[in-house]
Amino acid sequence: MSIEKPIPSVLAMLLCDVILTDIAPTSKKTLVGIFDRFWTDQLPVAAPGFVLYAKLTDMAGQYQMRVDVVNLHDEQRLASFTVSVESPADRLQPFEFVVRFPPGLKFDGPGAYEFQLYADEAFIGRCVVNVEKKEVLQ
Amino acid sequence: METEQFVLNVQRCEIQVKRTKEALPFPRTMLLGSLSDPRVRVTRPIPVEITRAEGSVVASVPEFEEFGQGDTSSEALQDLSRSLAELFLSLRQDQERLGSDLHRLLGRLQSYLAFVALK
Repeated sequence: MSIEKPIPSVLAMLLCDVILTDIAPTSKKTLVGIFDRFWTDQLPVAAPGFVLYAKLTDMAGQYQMRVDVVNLHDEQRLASFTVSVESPADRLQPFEFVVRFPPGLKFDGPGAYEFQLYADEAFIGRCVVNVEKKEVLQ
Repeated sequence: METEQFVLNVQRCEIQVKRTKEALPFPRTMLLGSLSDPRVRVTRPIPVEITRAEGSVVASVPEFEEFGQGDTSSEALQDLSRSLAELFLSLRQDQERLGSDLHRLLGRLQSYLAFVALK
């Protein structure tokens, strides 16, 4: 990353069930079912589909955005992907980075799992989901 | 390392995700691109070493002799982030009274960090 190119700032980073997007011209987003934990009665568990939403600013040009999903207990990376994004023309205009995870991301055990966001290999933000086992009452 | 691919929808384009079971190595180096203090902005990514020591994780910046500690690398990074921000802000506040060594340290910090005046 060159010195001139700003490092994006993360204004918000959240996990939610689904995002509703208004039609143009507003394209406003509604985040439904914001969560920071998964309850499950069995482990390992395959998570249902969900969405990672990040609002960024101070971007200029193209960035390689990477998301790693890391089990903080054993420092294992469960998933990783990189995508190229182009910033808005105005450097300070907010940029919404939306990732829809399909069902199936597997969590092996209880504990904290972190979604780590990188821009051109620089760590810029994180959000955590706690996986907890809940006994089902018979 | 197990890998599996699945399709993800990002910004209206589909990409392949590598689903793995890959242990992150220790020691390792990463780049820190933000600090937790809103008054301090990272202008150039800071190289950070992540190591394990005596049952905990240590995140350090050898150039500044600063480190953070925690049960996980995430906690260690947050601790380091707080330490770097505090060091930068305190040196900046007292810069008129600093000796030459600390003045040089502030100069090196300023090559990575900038002060943000909050409204």
